[in-house]
Amino acid sequence: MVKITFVEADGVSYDIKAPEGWSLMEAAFHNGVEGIEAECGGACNCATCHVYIDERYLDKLPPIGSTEDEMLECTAAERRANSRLSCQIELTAELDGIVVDLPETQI
Amino acid sequence: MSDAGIVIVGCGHAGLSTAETLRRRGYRGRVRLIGDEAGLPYQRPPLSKQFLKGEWDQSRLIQRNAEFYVKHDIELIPGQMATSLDVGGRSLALESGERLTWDNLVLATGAKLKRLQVSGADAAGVYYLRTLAQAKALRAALSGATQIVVIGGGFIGLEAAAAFVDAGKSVCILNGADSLLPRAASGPVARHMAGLHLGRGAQVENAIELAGFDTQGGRVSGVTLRDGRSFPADIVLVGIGVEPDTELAQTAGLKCKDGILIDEQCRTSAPDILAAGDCARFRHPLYHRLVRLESIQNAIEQGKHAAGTLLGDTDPYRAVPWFWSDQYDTKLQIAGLADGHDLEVIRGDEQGERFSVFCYARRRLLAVESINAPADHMIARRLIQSGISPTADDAANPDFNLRDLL
Repeated sequence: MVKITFVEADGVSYDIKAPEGWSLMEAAFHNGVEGIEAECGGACNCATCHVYIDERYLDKLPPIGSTEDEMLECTAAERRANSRLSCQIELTAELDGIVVDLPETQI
Repeated sequence: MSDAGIVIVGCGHAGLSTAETLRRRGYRGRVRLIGDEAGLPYQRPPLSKQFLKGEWDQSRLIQRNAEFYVKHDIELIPGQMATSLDVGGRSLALESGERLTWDNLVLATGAKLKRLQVSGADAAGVYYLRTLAQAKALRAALSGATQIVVIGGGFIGLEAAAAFVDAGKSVCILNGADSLLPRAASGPVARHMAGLHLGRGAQVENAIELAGFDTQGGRVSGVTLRDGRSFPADIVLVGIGVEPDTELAQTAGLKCKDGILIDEQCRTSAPDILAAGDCARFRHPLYHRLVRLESIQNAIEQGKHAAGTLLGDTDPYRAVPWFWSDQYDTKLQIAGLADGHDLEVIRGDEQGERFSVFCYARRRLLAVESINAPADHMIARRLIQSGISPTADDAANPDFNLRDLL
Protein backbone atom coordinates (compact mmCIF):
# COMPACT_ATOMS: atom_id res chain seq x y z
CA MET A 1 0.00 0.00 0.00
CA VAL A 2 1.12 3.52 -0.77
CA LYS A 3 0.53 6.34 1.70
CA ILE A 4 -0.71 9.58 0.19
CA THR A 5 -1.74 12.90 1.69
CA PHE A 6 -4.21 15.01 -0.27
CA VAL A 7 -4.52 18.63 0.79
CA GLU A 8 -7.53 20.58 -0.38
CA ALA A 9 -7.26 24.24 -1.30
CA ASP A 10 -8.88 25.21 2.02
CA GLY A 11 -6.29 23.23 3.97
CA VAL A 12 -8.37 20.15 4.82
CA SER A 13 -6.15 17.12 4.41
CA TYR A 14 -6.76 13.42 3.93
CA ASP A 15 -4.30 10.63 4.73
CA ILE A 16 -5.03 7.69 2.51
CA LYS A 17 -3.53 4.33 1.73
CA ALA A 18 -4.11 2.79 -1.70
CA PRO A 19 -2.75 -0.25 -3.52
CA GLU A 20 0.17 -0.05 -5.93
CA GLY A 21 -1.07 -0.12 -9.50
CA TRP A 22 -4.04 2.12 -8.84
CA SER A 23 -3.92 5.69 -10.04
CA LEU A 24 -3.51 8.65 -7.73
CA MET A 25 -6.98 9.78 -8.87
CA GLU A 26 -8.57 6.47 -7.90
CA ALA A 27 -7.06 6.68 -4.43
CA ALA A 28 -8.69 10.08 -3.97
CA PHE A 29 -11.95 9.14 -5.60
CA HIS A 30 -12.59 5.94 -3.63
CA ASN A 31 -12.02 7.80 -0.43
CA GLY A 32 -14.24 10.71 -1.33
CA VAL A 33 -11.57 13.41 -1.42
CA GLU A 34 -13.59 16.46 -2.38
CA GLY A 35 -11.22 18.39 -4.60
CA ILE A 36 -11.13 15.69 -7.29
CA GLU A 37 -14.07 15.47 -9.67
CA ALA A 38 -12.74 12.81 -12.07
CA GLU A 39 -15.85 12.94 -14.21
CA CYS A 40 -14.49 10.55 -16.81
CA GLY A 41 -13.37 7.99 -14.28
CA GLY A 42 -9.72 8.11 -15.20
CA ALA A 43 -9.63 8.02 -18.97
CA CYS A 44 -7.80 11.34 -19.45
CA ASN A 45 -10.92 12.85 -20.98
CA CYS A 46 -12.05 15.60 -18.66
CA ALA A 47 -9.14 17.34 -16.86
CA THR A 48 -11.11 17.39 -13.59
CA CYS A 49 -8.55 15.44 -11.56
CA HIS A 50 -5.91 18.17 -11.78
CA VAL A 51 -3.41 18.19 -8.89
CA TYR A 52 -0.21 19.92 -7.84
CA ILE A 53 2.51 17.43 -6.98
CA ASP A 54 4.95 17.60 -4.10
CA GLU A 55 8.19 18.87 -5.70
CA ARG A 56 10.24 16.14 -3.99
CA TYR A 57 8.35 13.49 -5.93
CA LEU A 58 8.17 15.09 -9.36
CA ASP A 59 11.09 13.13 -10.78
CA LYS A 60 9.61 9.86 -9.56
CA LEU A 61 6.55 10.27 -11.79
CA PRO A 62 6.03 8.95 -15.30
CA PRO A 63 6.58 11.69 -17.92
CA ILE A 64 3.60 13.75 -19.07
CA GLY A 65 2.02 12.11 -22.12
CA SER A 66 0.83 14.15 -25.11
CA THR A 67 -2.86 13.77 -24.26
CA GLU A 68 -2.27 14.73 -20.65
CA ASP A 69 -0.20 17.69 -21.77
CA GLU A 70 -3.01 19.00 -23.98
CA MET A 71 -5.62 18.43 -21.29
CA LEU A 72 -3.48 20.24 -18.72
CA GLU A 73 -3.63 23.29 -20.95
CA CYS A 74 -7.39 23.31 -20.36
CA THR A 75 -7.69 22.88 -16.61
CA ALA A 76 -10.05 25.11 -14.65
CA ALA A 77 -7.32 26.21 -12.22
CA GLU A 78 -3.99 27.52 -13.48
CA ARG A 79 -1.40 25.08 -14.75
CA ARG A 80 1.83 25.21 -12.81
CA ALA A 81 5.18 23.48 -13.27
CA ASN A 82 4.05 20.76 -10.88
CA SER A 83 0.60 20.27 -12.42
CA ARG A 84 -0.47 16.75 -13.35
CA LEU A 85 -3.66 14.86 -14.03
CA SER A 86 -3.89 12.41 -11.18
CA CYS A 87 -5.52 9.72 -13.32
CA GLN A 88 -2.28 9.41 -15.27
CA ILE A 89 -0.10 8.69 -12.25
CA GLU A 90 0.17 5.07 -11.26
CA LEU A 91 0.97 4.46 -7.62
CA THR A 92 4.34 2.83 -6.99
CA ALA A 93 6.29 2.10 -3.83
CA GLU A 94 8.52 5.08 -4.69
CA LEU A 95 5.59 7.44 -4.21
CA ASP A 96 4.98 6.39 -0.61
CA GLY A 97 4.50 9.52 1.49
CA ILE A 98 3.66 11.81 -1.43
CA VAL A 99 1.80 15.04 -0.66
CA VAL A 100 -0.66 16.21 -3.29
CA ASP A 101 -2.21 19.67 -3.30
CA LEU A 102 -5.62 20.14 -4.87
CA PRO A 103 -6.61 23.23 -6.85
CA GLU A 104 -9.48 25.48 -5.83
CA THR A 105 -11.66 24.32 -8.68
CA GLN A 106 -11.82 21.55 -11.27
CA ILE A 107 -14.72 22.81 -13.39
CA MET B 1 -41.13 19.27 5.98
CA SER B 2 -41.15 16.02 7.88
CA ASP B 3 -37.99 14.17 8.86
CA ALA B 4 -38.38 11.83 5.89
CA GLY B 5 -35.77 13.71 3.89
CA ILE B 6 -34.77 12.88 0.36
CA VAL B 7 -35.10 9.50 -1.28
CA ILE B 8 -33.13 8.89 -4.47
CA VAL B 9 -34.14 6.01 -6.72
CA GLY B 10 -31.17 4.69 -8.65
CA CYS B 11 -27.57 4.58 -7.53
CA GLY B 12 -25.90 4.99 -10.88
CA HIS B 13 -23.85 8.09 -11.62
CA ALA B 14 -26.81 10.50 -11.43
CA GLY B 15 -28.22 9.18 -8.16
CA LEU B 16 -24.87 9.07 -6.43
CA SER B 17 -23.98 12.53 -7.68
CA THR B 18 -27.23 13.90 -6.22
CA ALA B 19 -26.62 12.27 -2.84
CA GLU B 20 -23.01 13.42 -2.63
CA THR B 21 -23.81 16.96 -3.65
CA LEU B 22 -26.55 17.22 -1.02
CA ARG B 23 -24.06 16.30 1.66
CA ARG B 24 -21.15 18.33 0.35
CA ARG B 25 -23.37 21.38 0.28
CA GLY B 26 -24.52 20.89 3.83
CA TYR B 27 -27.93 19.26 3.57
CA ARG B 28 -28.66 17.80 6.98
CA GLY B 29 -31.84 15.82 6.40
CA ARG B 30 -32.03 12.14 5.75
CA VAL B 31 -30.61 10.90 2.42
CA ARG B 32 -31.52 7.44 1.17
CA LEU B 33 -30.11 5.98 -2.04
CA ILE B 34 -31.89 2.97 -3.48
CA GLY B 35 -30.37 0.77 -6.16
CA ASP B 36 -31.65 -2.35 -7.84
CA GLU B 37 -28.19 -3.88 -8.12
CA ALA B 38 -26.35 -5.45 -5.21
CA GLY B 39 -23.24 -3.96 -3.67
CA LEU B 40 -21.65 -0.52 -3.71
CA PRO B 41 -22.33 1.86 -6.61
CA TYR B 42 -19.78 1.39 -9.39
CA GLN B 43 -18.59 3.12 -12.53
CA ARG B 44 -20.11 1.93 -15.77
CA PRO B 45 -17.71 3.28 -18.44
CA PRO B 46 -14.85 0.87 -17.63
CA LEU B 47 -17.16 -2.14 -18.02
CA SER B 48 -16.76 -2.08 -21.80
CA LYS B 49 -13.13 -0.99 -21.59
CA GLN B 50 -10.63 -1.74 -18.78
CA PHE B 51 -12.82 -4.30 -17.04
CA LEU B 52 -13.70 -6.25 -20.19
CA LYS B 53 -10.04 -6.32 -21.19
CA GLY B 54 -9.16 -7.79 -17.81
CA GLU B 55 -6.96 -4.80 -16.92
CA TRP B 56 -9.07 -3.89 -13.90
CA ASP B 57 -10.55 -6.06 -11.21
CA GLN B 58 -13.93 -5.40 -9.65
CA SER B 59 -12.56 -3.45 -6.71
CA ARG B 60 -11.37 -0.70 -9.04
CA LEU B 61 -14.87 -0.15 -10.40
CA ILE B 62 -16.27 0.88 -7.05
CA GLN B 63 -17.18 4.57 -6.98
CA ARG B 64 -16.69 5.36 -3.32
CA ASN B 65 -15.70 3.00 -0.55
CA ALA B 66 -18.10 1.82 2.14
CA GLU B 67 -16.71 4.26 4.75
CA PHE B 68 -17.65 7.16 2.51
CA TYR B 69 -21.35 6.40 2.87
CA VAL B 70 -21.05 6.09 6.63
CA LYS B 71 -19.01 9.27 6.95
CA HIS B 72 -21.52 11.28 4.92
CA ASP B 73 -24.56 9.57 6.40
CA ILE B 74 -25.89 8.42 3.04
CA GLU B 75 -28.13 5.42 3.64
CA LEU B 76 -27.45 3.00 0.84
CA ILE B 77 -30.21 0.51 0.13
CA PRO B 78 -28.80 -1.78 -2.56
CA GLY B 79 -30.40 -4.75 -4.28
CA GLN B 80 -33.92 -3.34 -4.04
CA MET B 81 -36.33 -2.56 -6.84
CA ALA B 82 -38.72 0.29 -6.23
CA THR B 83 -42.07 -1.15 -7.23
CA SER B 84 -44.53 1.69 -6.94
CA LEU B 85 -44.70 5.35 -6.23
CA ASP B 86 -47.50 7.20 -4.47
CA VAL B 87 -47.12 10.85 -5.45
CA GLY B 88 -49.87 12.29 -3.25
CA GLY B 89 -48.96 10.16 -0.25
CA ARG B 90 -45.24 10.85 -0.74
CA SER B 91 -44.22 7.26 -0.43
CA LEU B 92 -42.32 4.65 -2.35
CA ALA B 93 -42.83 0.91 -2.12
CA LEU B 94 -39.87 -1.46 -2.43
CA GLU B 95 -40.01 -5.06 -3.56
CA SER B 96 -39.20 -6.11 -0.01
CA GLY B 97 -42.59 -4.73 0.98
CA GLU B 98 -41.02 -1.82 2.82
CA ARG B 99 -42.57 1.58 2.23
CA LEU B 100 -40.41 4.69 2.39
CA THR B 101 -41.82 8.15 2.87
CA TRP B 102 -40.06 11.22 1.53
CA ASP B 103 -40.21 14.98 1.45
CA ASN B 104 -38.55 14.99 -1.94
CA LEU B 105 -37.91 12.17 -4.35
CA VAL B 106 -35.25 12.09 -7.06
CA LEU B 107 -35.72 9.63 -9.88
CA ALA B 108 -32.37 8.55 -11.28
CA THR B 109 -33.64 5.31 -12.70
CA GLY B 110 -31.37 5.41 -15.74
CA ALA B 111 -31.94 3.37 -18.84
CA LYS B 112 -32.55 -0.25 -19.59
CA LEU B 113 -31.30 -2.37 -22.44
CA LYS B 114 -33.21 -2.82 -25.63
CA ARG B 115 -33.41 -6.52 -26.30
CA LEU B 116 -33.48 -8.35 -29.58
CA GLN B 117 -36.66 -10.22 -30.39
CA VAL B 118 -35.49 -12.76 -32.95
CA SER B 119 -35.36 -16.53 -32.95
CA GLY B 120 -32.62 -17.88 -30.74
CA ALA B 121 -32.18 -14.57 -28.91
CA ASP B 122 -32.41 -16.28 -25.53
CA ALA B 123 -29.79 -18.93 -26.36
CA ALA B 124 -26.77 -19.41 -24.14
CA GLY B 125 -23.82 -17.41 -25.41
CA VAL B 126 -25.85 -14.28 -26.20
CA TYR B 127 -24.70 -11.41 -24.00
CA TYR B 128 -25.67 -7.85 -23.24
CA LEU B 129 -23.50 -5.28 -21.50
CA ARG B 130 -24.78 -2.67 -19.11
CA THR B 131 -24.42 -3.98 -15.58
CA LEU B 132 -21.46 -5.31 -13.66
CA ALA B 133 -23.07 -8.75 -13.53
CA GLN B 134 -23.40 -8.77 -17.31
CA ALA B 135 -19.81 -7.60 -17.76
CA LYS B 136 -18.57 -10.35 -15.44
CA ALA B 137 -20.49 -13.01 -17.34
CA LEU B 138 -19.19 -11.77 -20.67
CA ARG B 139 -15.60 -11.51 -19.43
CA ALA B 140 -15.77 -15.06 -18.07
CA ALA B 141 -17.04 -16.38 -21.40
CA LEU B 142 -14.28 -14.72 -23.42
CA SER B 143 -11.51 -17.18 -22.72
CA GLY B 144 -13.44 -20.00 -24.41
CA ALA B 145 -14.42 -17.98 -27.46
CA THR B 146 -12.53 -17.46 -30.72
CA GLN B 147 -15.22 -16.01 -32.96
CA ILE B 148 -17.38 -13.18 -31.69
CA VAL B 149 -20.22 -11.37 -33.41
CA VAL B 150 -21.10 -7.92 -32.09
CA ILE B 151 -24.55 -6.67 -33.02
CA GLY B 152 -24.72 -2.90 -33.02
CA GLY B 153 -22.30 -0.21 -34.13
CA GLY B 154 -22.79 2.21 -31.24
CA PHE B 155 -20.34 3.06 -28.47
CA ILE B 156 -20.84 -0.13 -26.48
CA GLY B 157 -20.60 -2.43 -29.49
CA LEU B 158 -17.47 -0.74 -30.80
CA GLU B 159 -15.68 -0.49 -27.47
CA ALA B 160 -16.38 -4.14 -26.77
CA ALA B 161 -15.30 -5.08 -30.31
CA ALA B 162 -11.99 -3.28 -29.73
CA ALA B 163 -11.49 -5.15 -26.47
CA PHE B 164 -12.24 -8.46 -28.21
CA VAL B 165 -9.82 -7.72 -31.07
CA ASP B 166 -7.13 -6.74 -28.57
CA ALA B 167 -7.71 -10.10 -26.87
CA GLY B 168 -6.96 -11.86 -30.16
CA LYS B 169 -10.52 -12.77 -31.07
CA SER B 170 -11.95 -12.88 -34.55
CA VAL B 171 -14.61 -10.18 -34.50
CA CYS B 172 -17.48 -9.27 -36.80
CA ILE B 173 -19.53 -6.13 -36.19
CA LEU B 174 -23.07 -6.34 -37.60
CA ASN B 175 -24.57 -2.89 -37.67
CA GLY B 176 -28.17 -2.15 -38.59
CA ALA B 177 -27.49 1.46 -39.64
CA ASP B 178 -25.73 2.64 -42.78
CA SER B 179 -22.66 3.74 -40.86
CA LEU B 180 -21.12 3.23 -37.44
CA LEU B 181 -22.13 5.46 -34.52
CA PRO B 182 -25.27 6.58 -36.36
CA ARG B 183 -26.72 8.48 -33.42
CA ALA B 184 -23.48 9.88 -32.15
CA ALA B 185 -21.06 10.88 -34.87
CA SER B 186 -20.70 12.68 -38.18
CA GLY B 187 -19.70 10.97 -41.42
CA PRO B 188 -15.96 11.68 -41.19
CA VAL B 189 -15.73 10.31 -37.63
CA ALA B 190 -17.87 7.27 -38.48
CA ARG B 191 -15.60 6.53 -41.45
CA HIS B 192 -12.49 6.95 -39.34
CA MET B 193 -13.79 4.56 -36.69
CA ALA B 194 -14.79 2.02 -39.35
CA GLY B 195 -11.30 2.25 -40.86
CA LEU B 196 -9.82 1.77 -37.42
CA HIS B 197 -11.73 -1.46 -36.80
CA LEU B 198 -11.10 -2.77 -40.31
CA GLY B 199 -7.41 -1.97 -39.97
CA ARG B 200 -7.24 -4.03 -36.81
CA GLY B 201 -8.80 -7.00 -38.58
CA ALA B 202 -12.41 -6.73 -37.47
CA GLN B 203 -15.12 -7.26 -40.06
CA VAL B 204 -17.71 -4.50 -40.30
CA GLU B 205 -21.08 -5.04 -42.00
CA ASN B 206 -23.43 -2.07 -42.15
CA ALA B 207 -27.14 -1.91 -43.02
CA ILE B 208 -27.71 -5.49 -41.98
CA GLU B 209 -31.10 -6.99 -41.25
CA LEU B 210 -31.06 -9.76 -38.74
CA ALA B 211 -33.00 -12.94 -39.40
CA GLY B 212 -32.10 -14.82 -36.25
CA PHE B 213 -29.51 -16.64 -34.20
CA ASP B 214 -28.36 -20.13 -35.13
CA THR B 215 -28.24 -22.45 -32.18
CA GLN B 216 -26.89 -25.88 -31.40
CA GLY B 217 -28.16 -27.60 -28.28
CA GLY B 218 -29.45 -24.34 -26.84
CA ARG B 219 -26.16 -22.50 -27.47
CA VAL B 220 -25.64 -19.81 -30.04
CA SER B 221 -23.49 -20.91 -32.99
CA GLY B 222 -23.94 -18.02 -35.36
CA VAL B 223 -26.04 -15.19 -36.71
CA THR B 224 -28.03 -15.28 -39.92
CA LEU B 225 -29.14 -12.24 -41.89
CA ARG B 226 -32.26 -11.80 -43.98
CA ASP B 227 -30.16 -11.79 -47.16
CA GLY B 228 -29.07 -15.33 -46.29
CA ARG B 229 -25.54 -14.52 -45.16
CA SER B 230 -24.47 -16.25 -42.00
CA PHE B 231 -21.70 -15.45 -39.50
CA PRO B 232 -20.41 -18.13 -37.15
CA ALA B 233 -20.01 -17.13 -33.51
CA ASP B 234 -19.03 -18.73 -30.21
CA ILE B 235 -20.57 -15.78 -28.46
CA VAL B 236 -22.67 -12.82 -29.53
CA LEU B 237 -22.74 -9.45 -27.85
CA VAL B 238 -25.85 -7.39 -28.46
CA GLY B 239 -25.43 -3.63 -28.11
CA ILE B 240 -28.45 -2.07 -29.75
CA GLY B 241 -29.03 0.74 -27.33
CA VAL B 242 -31.10 1.52 -24.31
CA GLU B 243 -34.40 3.12 -23.48
CA PRO B 244 -35.18 5.28 -20.47
CA ASP B 245 -36.48 3.46 -17.44
CA THR B 246 -39.68 5.40 -16.88
CA GLU B 247 -41.87 2.63 -15.55
CA LEU B 248 -42.09 3.90 -11.99
CA ALA B 249 -42.73 7.46 -13.12
CA GLN B 250 -45.28 6.51 -15.73
CA THR B 251 -47.36 4.30 -13.48
CA ALA B 252 -47.38 7.08 -10.90
CA GLY B 253 -48.79 9.44 -13.50
CA LEU B 254 -45.74 11.67 -14.02
CA LYS B 255 -45.47 13.17 -17.49
CA CYS B 256 -43.18 11.11 -19.69
CA LYS B 257 -42.29 11.16 -23.36
CA ASP B 258 -39.38 8.85 -24.12
CA GLY B 259 -38.01 9.93 -20.77
CA ILE B 260 -39.35 11.57 -17.64
CA LEU B 261 -40.10 15.15 -18.60
CA ILE B 262 -38.33 17.68 -16.39
CA ASP B 263 -37.98 21.43 -16.38
CA GLU B 264 -34.75 23.39 -16.34
CA GLN B 265 -34.41 22.80 -12.60
CA CYS B 266 -34.89 19.02 -12.95
CA ARG B 267 -38.47 19.08 -11.62
CA THR B 268 -40.92 16.55 -12.99
CA SER B 269 -44.63 17.25 -13.45
CA ALA B 270 -44.95 16.62 -9.71
CA PRO B 271 -43.10 19.51 -8.06
CA ASP B 272 -41.72 17.48 -5.14
CA ILE B 273 -40.21 14.92 -7.47
CA LEU B 274 -37.10 15.55 -9.52
CA ALA B 275 -35.35 13.45 -12.12
CA ALA B 276 -31.83 13.39 -13.54
CA GLY B 277 -29.59 11.40 -15.85
CA ASP B 278 -30.37 8.91 -18.62
CA CYS B 279 -34.05 8.68 -17.62
CA ALA B 280 -34.81 12.39 -17.99
CA ARG B 281 -35.86 14.47 -20.98
CA PHE B 282 -35.55 18.22 -20.86
CA ARG B 283 -35.39 21.32 -23.02
CA HIS B 284 -31.73 22.15 -23.46
CA PRO B 285 -31.22 25.93 -23.48
CA LEU B 286 -28.21 25.66 -25.81
CA TYR B 287 -30.14 23.63 -28.38
CA HIS B 288 -33.73 24.85 -27.89
CA ARG B 289 -35.23 21.40 -28.09
CA LEU B 290 -36.06 18.45 -25.89
CA VAL B 291 -33.11 16.13 -25.39
CA ARG B 292 -32.43 13.00 -23.41
CA LEU B 293 -28.77 12.28 -22.89
CA GLU B 294 -27.08 8.97 -22.26
CA SER B 295 -23.79 10.09 -20.83
CA ILE B 296 -21.73 10.14 -17.69
CA GLN B 297 -21.22 13.87 -17.91
CA ASN B 298 -24.95 14.56 -17.96
CA ALA B 299 -25.68 12.03 -15.24
CA ILE B 300 -23.13 13.62 -12.91
CA GLU B 301 -23.87 17.25 -13.66
CA GLN B 302 -27.65 16.89 -13.78
CA GLY B 303 -27.50 14.94 -10.52
CA LYS B 304 -25.64 17.89 -9.01
CA HIS B 305 -28.16 20.27 -10.45
CA ALA B 306 -31.08 18.34 -8.98
CA ALA B 307 -29.39 18.52 -5.59
CA GLY B 308 -28.94 22.26 -6.08
CA THR B 309 -32.63 22.72 -6.81
CA LEU B 310 -33.48 20.85 -3.61
CA LEU B 311 -31.21 23.25 -1.75
CA GLY B 312 -32.93 26.30 -3.21
CA ASP B 313 -30.92 27.09 -6.35
CA THR B 314 -32.95 28.53 -9.19
CA ASP B 315 -30.47 28.57 -12.08
CA PRO B 316 -31.29 26.52 -15.18
CA TYR B 317 -29.34 23.45 -16.21
CA ARG B 318 -27.34 24.34 -19.31
CA ALA B 319 -24.20 22.20 -19.27
CA VAL B 320 -22.65 21.36 -22.64
CA PRO B 321 -23.10 17.64 -23.25
CA TRP B 322 -19.90 15.75 -23.86
CA PHE B 323 -19.04 12.17 -24.58
CA TRP B 324 -15.97 10.06 -25.08
CA SER B 325 -15.05 6.66 -26.35
CA ASP B 326 -11.66 4.96 -26.17
CA GLN B 327 -11.13 2.27 -28.79
CA TYR B 328 -7.73 0.67 -29.35
CA ASP B 329 -5.34 3.62 -28.96
CA THR B 330 -7.81 6.10 -30.37
CA LYS B 331 -9.59 8.70 -28.32
CA LEU B 332 -12.89 9.97 -29.65
CA GLN B 333 -14.27 12.98 -27.80
CA ILE B 334 -17.50 14.75 -28.64
CA ALA B 335 -18.56 18.16 -27.34
CA GLY B 336 -22.14 19.23 -27.97
CA LEU B 337 -24.95 17.70 -30.00
CA ALA B 338 -24.54 17.56 -33.76
CA ASP B 339 -28.12 16.60 -34.70
CA GLY B 340 -29.46 18.73 -37.49
CA HIS B 341 -26.11 20.13 -38.60
CA ASP B 342 -25.81 21.45 -42.13
CA LEU B 343 -22.05 21.96 -42.38
CA GLU B 344 -19.00 19.91 -41.40
CA VAL B 345 -15.63 21.63 -41.22
CA ILE B 346 -12.51 19.53 -40.75
CA ARG B 347 -9.65 20.82 -38.62
CA GLY B 348 -6.55 18.70 -39.12
CA ASP B 349 -6.07 15.78 -41.48
CA GLU B 350 -9.18 13.69 -42.01
CA GLN B 351 -7.08 10.90 -43.49
CA GLY B 352 -4.63 11.04 -40.60
CA GLU B 353 -4.74 10.06 -36.96
CA ARG B 354 -5.73 13.40 -35.53
CA PHE B 355 -8.50 15.74 -36.57
CA SER B 356 -11.73 17.37 -35.43
CA VAL B 357 -15.06 17.82 -37.17
CA PHE B 358 -16.80 21.12 -36.41
CA CYS B 359 -20.54 20.70 -36.96
CA TYR B 360 -22.57 23.84 -37.67
CA ALA B 361 -26.21 24.66 -38.29
CA ARG B 362 -26.78 28.04 -39.95
CA ARG B 363 -23.24 29.05 -39.02
CA ARG B 364 -23.78 28.31 -35.37
CA LEU B 365 -21.39 25.78 -33.85
CA LEU B 366 -23.39 22.84 -32.51
CA ALA B 367 -20.77 20.21 -31.82
CA VAL B 368 -17.15 19.25 -32.27
CA GLU B 369 -16.05 15.65 -32.65
CA SER B 370 -12.37 15.07 -32.07
CA ILE B 371 -10.16 12.15 -32.94
CA ASN B 372 -6.99 12.18 -30.82
CA ALA B 373 -7.27 15.97 -30.47
CA PRO B 374 -8.03 16.59 -26.80
CA ALA B 375 -7.19 20.30 -26.87
CA ASP B 376 -9.74 20.87 -29.65
CA HIS B 377 -12.29 19.04 -27.53
CA MET B 378 -11.65 21.04 -24.39
CA ILE B 379 -11.73 24.36 -26.24
CA ALA B 380 -14.90 23.29 -28.07
CA ARG B 381 -16.68 22.69 -24.80
CA ARG B 382 -15.93 26.23 -23.75
CA LEU B 383 -16.84 27.73 -27.12
CA ILE B 384 -20.22 25.99 -27.16
CA GLN B 385 -20.94 26.86 -23.54
CA SER B 386 -20.22 30.50 -24.32
CA GLY B 387 -22.20 30.49 -27.57
CA ILE B 388 -19.11 31.38 -29.60
CA SER B 389 -18.97 30.09 -33.16
CA PRO B 390 -15.64 30.36 -34.95
CA THR B 391 -15.98 31.04 -38.68
CA ALA B 392 -15.61 27.98 -40.85
CA ASP B 393 -12.30 29.35 -42.17
CA ASP B 394 -10.89 29.83 -38.68
CA ALA B 395 -12.07 26.38 -37.58
CA ALA B 396 -10.39 24.78 -40.57
CA ASN B 397 -7.12 26.70 -40.11
CA PRO B 398 -4.80 24.80 -37.75
CA ASP B 399 -2.70 27.94 -37.31
CA PHE B 400 -5.65 29.88 -35.94
CA ASN B 401 -5.68 29.62 -32.17
CA LEU B 402 -9.29 28.92 -31.18
CA ARG B 403 -8.45 29.82 -27.62
CA ASP B 404 -8.13 33.44 -28.72
CA LEU B 405 -11.91 33.51 -29.17
CA LEU B 406 -12.55 32.76 -25.52
